[in-house]
This record gives sequence, structure tokens and C-alpha cells, in this order.
Amino acid sequence: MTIFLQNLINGTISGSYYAVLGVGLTVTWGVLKMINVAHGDFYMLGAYFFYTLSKMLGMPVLISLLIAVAGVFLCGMVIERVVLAPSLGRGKFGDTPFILTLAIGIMLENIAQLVWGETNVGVPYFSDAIYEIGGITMAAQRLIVAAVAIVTLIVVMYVIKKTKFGWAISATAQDIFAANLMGICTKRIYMITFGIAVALCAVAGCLLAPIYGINPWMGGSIQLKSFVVCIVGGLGSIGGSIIAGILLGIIESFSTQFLGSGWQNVIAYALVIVMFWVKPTGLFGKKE
Amino acid sequence: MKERFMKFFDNSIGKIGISAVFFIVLFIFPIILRGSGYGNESYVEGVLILCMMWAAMTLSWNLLMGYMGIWSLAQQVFFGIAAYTSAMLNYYFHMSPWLGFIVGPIAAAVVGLIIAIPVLRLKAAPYIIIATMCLAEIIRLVFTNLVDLTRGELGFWMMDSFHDIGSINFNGVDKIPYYYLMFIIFAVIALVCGILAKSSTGLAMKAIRDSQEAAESLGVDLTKTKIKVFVLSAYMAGFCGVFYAHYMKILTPTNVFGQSMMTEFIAMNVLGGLATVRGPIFGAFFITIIMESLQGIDDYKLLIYAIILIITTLIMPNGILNSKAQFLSWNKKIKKLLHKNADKQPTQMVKGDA
Amino acid sequence: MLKIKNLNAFYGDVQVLYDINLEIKEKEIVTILGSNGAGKTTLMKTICGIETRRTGEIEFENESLMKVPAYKLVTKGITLTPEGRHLFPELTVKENLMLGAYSTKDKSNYEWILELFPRLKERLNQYAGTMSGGEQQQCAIARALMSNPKFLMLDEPSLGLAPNIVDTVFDIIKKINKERGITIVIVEQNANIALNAADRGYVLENGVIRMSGDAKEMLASSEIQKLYLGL
Repeated sequence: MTIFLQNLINGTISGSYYAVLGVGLTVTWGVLKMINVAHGDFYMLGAYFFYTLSKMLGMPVLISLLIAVAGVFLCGMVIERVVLAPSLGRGKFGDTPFILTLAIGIMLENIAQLVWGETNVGVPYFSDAIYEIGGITMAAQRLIVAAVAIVTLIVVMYVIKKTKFGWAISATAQDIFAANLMGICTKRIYMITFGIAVALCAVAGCLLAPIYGINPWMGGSIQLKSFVVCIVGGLGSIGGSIIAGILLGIIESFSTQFLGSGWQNVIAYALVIVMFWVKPTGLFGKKE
Repeated sequence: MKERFMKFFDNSIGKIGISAVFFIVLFIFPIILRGSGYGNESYVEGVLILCMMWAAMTLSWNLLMGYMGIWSLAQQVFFGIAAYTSAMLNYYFHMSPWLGFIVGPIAAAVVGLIIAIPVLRLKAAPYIIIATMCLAEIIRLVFTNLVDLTRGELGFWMMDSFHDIGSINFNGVDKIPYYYLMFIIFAVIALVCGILAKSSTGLAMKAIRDSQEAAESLGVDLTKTKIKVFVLSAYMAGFCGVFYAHYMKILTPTNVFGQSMMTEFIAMNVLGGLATVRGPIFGAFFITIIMESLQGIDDYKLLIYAIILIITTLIMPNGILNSKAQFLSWNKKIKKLLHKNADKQPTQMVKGDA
Repeated sequence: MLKIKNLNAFYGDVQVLYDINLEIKEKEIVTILGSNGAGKTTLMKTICGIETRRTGEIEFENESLMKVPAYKLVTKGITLTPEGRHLFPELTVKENLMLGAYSTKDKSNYEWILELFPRLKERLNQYAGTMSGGEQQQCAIARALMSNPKFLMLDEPSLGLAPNIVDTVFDIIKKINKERGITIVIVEQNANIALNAADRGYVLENGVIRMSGDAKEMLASSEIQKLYLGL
């Protein structure tokens, strides 16, 4: 029973990050109508920014976190404006932006490799405390991480559902022609949305850095998992992504327990294939 | 003169002529190289072998993506499966690498069939991309995790070379036998792609790319065509895989099943131009040769690669070879600019005098 | 108020509008008639600078619109209710209305609009995509009015609506014009109802203006009767 609960909690915590990453990807898909295969590399970039600020420059954790996220947000906006914006709308589903994100991914990895080197680096835990309640052990680090993820998700949900800016994002996603008529500058919305999406990656990158370490290729598997989250939750559905993210975390946690650590990713990716088989639009997706 | 030159390139006889010249040059290249007395011929031949191998791989992927519009990102898996099959049979049962050319591609074709089935149900490109990426990753992880059978991340190395045929020696000291072996594989694949593109299946593939619904209403059997192309594409890729296993003689899961190889195929194809035979060939030779010549600045290699990809995708979305119209319009613009400057200059002179 | 001089429009290399000249004065209701494919919707989009390439001159209050991007028109007081309504189906009616005032940030019209459209008042929290056609049309007009426009363009407001609902919609259009003095352009296939509501009319055919004149006279003209009224 305790093992069960332990797994459930561990799964929920790592799942909260899959949710953050998945929401970013799904928003990019919903608004810009493209899939971003450089998503994981922005996660890596966020982690490196955080490492530079907090460990190399010795800034306080919270400030480093905020600056790192803001930095990635800016990078995202610049990249969108310079590289992606001219190509959006080309091809049937945005083949050109897809290839461009592929190139952006390679570029970011190479830059990280040049700037920070190829070896693993790490940042210390924010807190070393470990709590134990009824046989369930819980590192304070993981609790902090989960709390930040939840706050981030709530803020994102609030902005998109309740503010005028969020409605403008939804409007652009649903009908770009009408959005233009409303006086919404859709190009700006594209830029900011992409910025927000990659800033979400950065949040995840910063907070998971102490746990998993940092290297230029850390984005690879996490990116494919964000895809899993998007598909299972239904491409374009934010709520779906959150639920799917947490679900994925829990499934992974249990499959590590029962199958050994080499296989949990296989289960995660197989989930996508099963989902496609059963309901291609995802758990909460709309019909095509 | 220029008009006639351009027309020659558009003309189908001209096109056939150019490809014939290309293959003939490729065929006699080693002889010229040796005749010229250039010292490092084995290196140059090695680069060309790689060029031909990637060109053949990209051609096989082009069938799926270029002609049929199926964004399958699992081509490296077919390559890897064939390579592993041949290597493992060689390692465990000492099977002749030559037999690998029979077994490997068949194994790849079977995997092609397995991957085709879930993809058949999907129509939207993003779904296909994600599904095939996940399938490729599953296969990579399976090969990594089944340590007892596949030796995990260690992989296989020092597989047998192809056994000698008579006096033709495949020990690798002289690259010529490998060069011509690859040349044959490459030429046959290019020929099959060219014939297929012109055939009724090729037409059906293009119809599927433009609109699956319309293709279906015209009587194209979607399932059959897709499976056929998937299996054929995998089968072709299999030959390259087997060649790679006994030429490079090192196989690890990350190496042959990883996403980075797939990225190269995409870049080569997009750069050269989709849905043509010459596009992938041009792209593969172009990128491989550039990457080789950048060997000196290894650290920046990928950065330059990415920048080339970004710039060509942005300004020549149809690939370098399909951008004649673009080149012509640039030509016009440059001429206009020159004219304008020529017009301006005298007025400026007048001002200067005043 | 709006002056169009020698306007030509192209989709790629295909010309779709030829030498359009028209003028719309303040506080008028003007209708642009034409059959399917005559280029009416294209004209609206061209005025907004959406989709087509254009040459010629468009002036609004003596200021050229040729270089103004589509999204800035709202702040100048020009609003288009597009053909097919183009509501945001997955946002609520209220959110749709609020987006109408996105760039002007002036919500003073809100109460007045809810009075004008009592049906919408009942459905503020319903998703726009789930409403009936008539309600959606009302919502689209209401959304356009939220930006407090001086100049309102309505593209086929009667499309797909039952006759009694068409009457309601046109009553509202006349009321808007009378109460607020908003200049209105109505693009219509339904010539009868449009000419009855309008002061003046233009007839567009194959991208060319064929006819123009006073609405009452046009209603009486035998040619219009034959071509568009089926009499």
C-alpha cells in the first residue's frame, strides 16, 4: 500500500512537469498550427540559463529562475519572429515551420555544446530536507518542484481562459481572419504565444535541473514525452494535456516499479500508439 | 543561348542526359582519380561511398514523404533493422554477409509493414510524425534494453567483411570493391525510384499526397498503395543498412536507430527538393561533402548545418533544384537593382559637380 | 466618408476586381448587390486589405487606407462583419463581444448592445458555436458594434436565415443607423430587402460596377427587377 502511494505521489510530481511541457506544445499547435520539435531544446536552454545564473554567477534561486524563464521567453520570441514567422502557413500543415524547428533544435544543441561544454553539469537542490509521513518519503525538492508546476499551470489556465489577452490567443487559434477583423495583431499573438510556450519549457528545465542534471541533449526524451502528452490529451486541448501529463507520470512511475527502469519509456511511447488505435483525437480532443 | 541552355534542362531528354552523365562520371571517377595521381584516393572514395549511401537512403524516404506525403520519421529504423539482422546473424551464426542482402532487406520490409499499419489510420501529418517518432524510439529502446540478445548500448562491431569473390578483395584496404558495390545499390535504387515515379503507382502516390479523399474517390486503394510503398521503401533502406553493417562495422542503437540520422535524411531531401529523383541525390551529395569539408571546424559543424537548412528552407521552400523560378526572379531583381544604380549614378555626379 | 478610386484587386495573378469607383457618405446606408461570385465579398476583403493584392486608392475620412494593415482598421472606426459570421465558436458570447472591443478598449456600448439584442443577453455564457444561425448573425453584428465603429460593413447578413429572422436583423440594422448615425454598407444577394433598407445601391457584376443609384429608383427599375428581384 505504501509502495502504491509512493508511486502515485512520485508519478503525480513528475507528471506535473509533463503537463507543463505538454501545455506549451499544445498551445503552439493550437495557435501557430505547427509542431515544434525544438521544444525539448528550449527546456535544455532554460536549465543552462538557470545554471549560469545560480551556480556560475551565484544569484539567488528565485531570481535566477525568473531571469532564466524571461530569457528563454525572449529567445523564443526572437526565434519566432526571425525564423518561423516568414514560413507560417506554408505547406498543408506547416511542413516548413516543422523543418525549421528541426534546424533550430540542432542549432540550440550545438550552441549549448559550444558555450557550456559536453559534460554533465548540475545545480544543487533548493532544499535538502526529506519528509516522511506514514512510510512515504518525500524530498522537499520534489515538493517545491510540484508546487511551482501547479502554480504555473494555474496561471497559464487563468490567463488563457479569463483575460482578454487569453481570449485573443483563443480567437487567433480558432479563426485568424476574424481575429484580424477584431483588431488583433495576429503576428504579435503568434510571437508571444511561442514565447510563452517555450518559457513553460524553461520553467520545467530550471526546476528539474537539480534532479536530473544538465547536458546539451537532455531535451530529447522529454520532448517525445511532451508529444505523448499532447496526443493522449488531444492536440490543442490544454485541460487534456494537464490530465494526460499527470497520467503519464503515474503510469511511468508504476512501470518503472514493475518492469525495471529501461522499459518505462517504451510504455510511454506505446501509449501513443494505443491512443491512435483507440481514439486518434486523444482523450479530450475535438473531432477532426 | 541562355534560353536554349535553360530549355535543355527542362527537356526530358536533357534530364535523362544529365543523369546519365552523372552516373557515368560516378562510375569512372575512381579510375580518373587513380590516373590523376592524387595521393589520398581512399579518403575521397570513402566520402563518395557515404554520399551514395545517404543518397540511396534519402531516395527511399522520398518515396514516402516526397511522393506520397506521408511524414514518416522512422526511415532510420529500416536501415538499422537490416543492419542489425545481418550483423547478428553473422555474429551468432557466422552467416555470410552476402546473404545479409537477402535477409536484411526482408527484415526491414517486415518492420516497414508493422510501422505502416498504425500509420494507415492517421491522415493528419502531425499525428503521423509523432506516431512514427514514437515507434522509432520504441524500437531503439527495445534494442538497447534486450542486452542478452543485442548487447545493449555496446552494440556490435567487427562484423565480417563481405567475403571475397574470386580475386575481388573486400578487406577494406582498397575501397574500390565497396565503392562499386555501393554504386550498384545506389544506381538500382535511383532507377527503381525513377521508374516508380512515372508508373501508375507513382501517380496514385502523388494523388494521395495532394488529397487522400480525392485520391480515394478516383479509385486509388489507399491502404494497398500505402502498404506497398512503405514496404518497398523499407526494403530499399535495408540494402543500405546491410552495406553499412559490413562496411562501417560498428552498430549501436543510438547510432543507427537515433533521431539524428533521420534529421539528416530530412535535411538532404528538403534541401535538394522533394518528390524528384535528382533532389535527394543532390541534397545527399551536397550535405555530405560540405560536412566532410567542415571536418576541420568540427565544433561548429552542426551549427553551420542548421543555418544552411534554415536559410534554404526560408528562401527556397521547394529545395535548391526546384527553385529555377526563384533564381530567375532574383536574377531579374538584381538586374533591376543594377539598372537603378546605373541610372542613379549620373544624377549623383551632377549633384557632385554642383 | 469612404472613397474608392480605380480599385483593382488580384488573387495571385488573377484579377478579380476591375476599376471600382464608389463613394459612401456619412450616415448613409448603402447596399452593394450582386449574384454569387460577383466579387462582393472580395470587395469587402480588399477594402480591409485581407487576402488580395490591390492597386488604386481607398480613402477613409481623407486618409489613405492602402498601407494600413487589417488589424488597425478597427481603431480607425471601420468594422466588417464577414460573410459566414466567423464567430469564435469555442468562446462564449460574452467573450466574443469583449473581443469586439479588443483594440478600442471602450466598452461603453455594451449595455446599449445588450438592449438591442435581447436574445444575446440571455445567452451571454453560451458558446457561440452552439447558437442558431440567426443568433449567431446577431452576435456577429453585436461584436462588430462593440468597437464603437463609425463605419460598419455587413457581408451577407441574411445568408442562411429564415425570412422572419432576416426582418429582425434588418430592423436592427436600420435602428443602429438611426440611433447612432453609423454609416452602413450592406453586401447582399437578397436585393429586395437590402434596397428597402438602403438609401443608395450599387450593382456589382463579375468584378465591375454595373449600376448605381438611389435605392427607391433601383427598386423600381425594370432591369433590377428582372435580374435580382425575379419579377
